Amino acid sequence: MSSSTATSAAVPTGSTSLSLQRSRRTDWLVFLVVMATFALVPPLLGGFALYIATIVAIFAIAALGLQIMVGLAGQLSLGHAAFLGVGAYTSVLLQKLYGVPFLAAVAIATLASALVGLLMGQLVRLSGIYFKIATFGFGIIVYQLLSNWSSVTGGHTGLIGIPPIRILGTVFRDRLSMFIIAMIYLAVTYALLLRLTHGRAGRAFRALGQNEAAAQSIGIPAASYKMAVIAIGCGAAGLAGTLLPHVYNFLNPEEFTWLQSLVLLIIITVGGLGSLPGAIVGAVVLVVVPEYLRAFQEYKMLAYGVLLIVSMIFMPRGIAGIVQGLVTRIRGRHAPAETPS
Amino acid sequence: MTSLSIQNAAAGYGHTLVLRDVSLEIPEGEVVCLLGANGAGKTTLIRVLSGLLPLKSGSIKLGGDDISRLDPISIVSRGVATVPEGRRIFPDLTVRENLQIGAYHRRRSYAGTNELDFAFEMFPRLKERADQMGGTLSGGEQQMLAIGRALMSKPKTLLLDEPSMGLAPILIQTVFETIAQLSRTGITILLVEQNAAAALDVASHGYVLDRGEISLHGRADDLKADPRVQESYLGLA
Repeated sequence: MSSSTATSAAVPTGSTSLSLQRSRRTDWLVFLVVMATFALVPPLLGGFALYIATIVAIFAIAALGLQIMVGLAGQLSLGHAAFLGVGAYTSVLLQKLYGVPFLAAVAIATLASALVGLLMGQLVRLSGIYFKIATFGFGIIVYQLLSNWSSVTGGHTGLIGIPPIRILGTVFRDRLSMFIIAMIYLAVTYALLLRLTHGRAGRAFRALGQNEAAAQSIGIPAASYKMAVIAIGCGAAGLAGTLLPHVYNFLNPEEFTWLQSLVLLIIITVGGLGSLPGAIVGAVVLVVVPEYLRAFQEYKMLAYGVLLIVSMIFMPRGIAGIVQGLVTRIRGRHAPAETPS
Repeated sequence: MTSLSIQNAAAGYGHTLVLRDVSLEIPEGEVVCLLGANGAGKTTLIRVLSGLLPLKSGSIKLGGDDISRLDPISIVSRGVATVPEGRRIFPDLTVRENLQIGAYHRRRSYAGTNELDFAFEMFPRLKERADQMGGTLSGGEQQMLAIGRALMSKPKTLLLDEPSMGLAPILIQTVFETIAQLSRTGITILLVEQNAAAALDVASHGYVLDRGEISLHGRADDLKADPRVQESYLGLA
C-alpha cells in the first residue's frame, strides 16, 4: 500500500547526511562553548557575579522556550512572563503549604505551566494576530489573579519565607549552590531543546513557523504541533520560574508583568530569532547591562526600546546572526566554498 | 488502480458552501486540468482532496479506497502530494532541507535519498543551489522547489494548484514542460490552472468549475474547440 518500506531502509549517503551532521556537530560545539563560558566566568568573578549569572540563567531558560515557540515555530506570545509566574507560585506554594519536596514541586510546577499553556492554546484556537492579542490578554489575566487572589498568593505584597532548596536532605542556600543548580537547569533545558530542534519535530516546527500552508500541504499536522510547541515554551518558562523565588527570597506578582514578557521577547530578538545560543546571549545582555546601569533605572524601558530598534536595523538576525556571518567569512577566507560540479 | 475520483462533493467554510456538487474523474497516469475563474472553488477542491478541509457530503476514492475522511498525512502516505498555490516554500531552510522535509511523512528525517536524487535530476538548477536558502531563489526556481518537494513523497498522484501563477512567460513554459515530463514518468496529475490554453495543451481531459459546480467537462481537444471555453477562458471570441 505505501511505498515507504523500500526507501526507509536506504542508508543516507553522500552530501545529504554530511552537511546535516556537520551542522549538528557545530550546534553541539556551540553548546559546549556557551555552557563552558557560562560555568567558568561567574565563579572566577565571584560574589555578585554569581548572583547575576543565576538570574541570567533563569531568564535564559525561559527565553529558550520562547525561542522554540516564537523564533522557530512562529507562535508569538506576548504574555510569556505569566508562565514564569505560574511556575514560581505553583512550586513555592506546593513546598510551603503542602511540604512537597523541592524536585517534585519543580516537576509539578513545570508540568502545570505547560498545561496552563495548553489551556491558553485551546481557549484561543486562533491564528495570526488574534492569537498574539489573546496571549497578551492571558498574561494580564494571570497577573491579575496573582495580585488579587490574596488568600493564596499574598496579593501585591507577595510571599515571604520562601523555603530553602532542599534536595535529598541537603539544604542549598548560598550563591554558589544556587548558581550551580541554575546551571544544571540551563544545561538540561538547552540540551533537550537542541536535540528537539535536530529531530523530526524540530523540522516540523521550523516549517510551521515559515509557512503554515506549505507545512500542511506536506502532511505536517499543524494544529498538534502548535499545541506541542506552546506546551514546550510555557513549560520551559515555568521551570525557570521555579528558581526565581529561591534566588530573590521573596515572590511577588511584579516580576510577571507584561513588561517582563516584553523583555523576554527583546532577549530572543536581540540574541537572534530562531537561535538557541542567541537566546542565552540575549539573556546575558538584557540582564547584565541593566545591573550596571542602575543609576539610570527610570530609563530602563527606554533603553530596551532603543536597543530593540537599533538591533532590528543593524542586526536583523541578532547577535547570533552576526557571529554566524563572521564565522562564515573567516572560514571562506581559509577554505574557499566547495563549488558544485 | 490509483485513479482518483470525486463523487458529488460538497464543501465550504462555516455555513457557506463553496463546492456544491462536484464530480470528477482523474484516470491513472493522465493529466486532468481544472479550469475556472477566481472564486470558482478550485483551491477549495484541492484543500478537500489533500485532507485539509472536510467534505460536507459526497466521497473521494483513490483506486477504489474511500479516502474522504483521512487526514493530510495519511493522504500523503497514500501517494497523493500537493503543490499548494503561490510558491509556498520555506524561505529559511536550504533548498536541500526544503526537499527533505517533503519526505516528512516517512518518520525518518534522513529518508528519501533516492527521491532527492530524482528531484535534483528533474531540476538540475536546484542541485546547483542545494545549500542556498529557499527564500533566495527566483520565482521560477521556487515553483520548481515546491514541485520538487512534493515529489519527495514519491507520489503516484500530484495535485498542482496554479503552478504558473505570477511567473514570467518563459518560466510558465518551463513549468508546463515539467508537468508533461512528470506525466511521462507515469504520475497522475490534477492541474488547477487559470492559464487555460497551456493547461488544455498538456492535459488529456478538462473540467470547468463555475461557482462551485462543474459546468463543462470533456476531452481537452473538445474543450479547446468548445465556444463557451473559447469565450470565457481562452480569450477568443
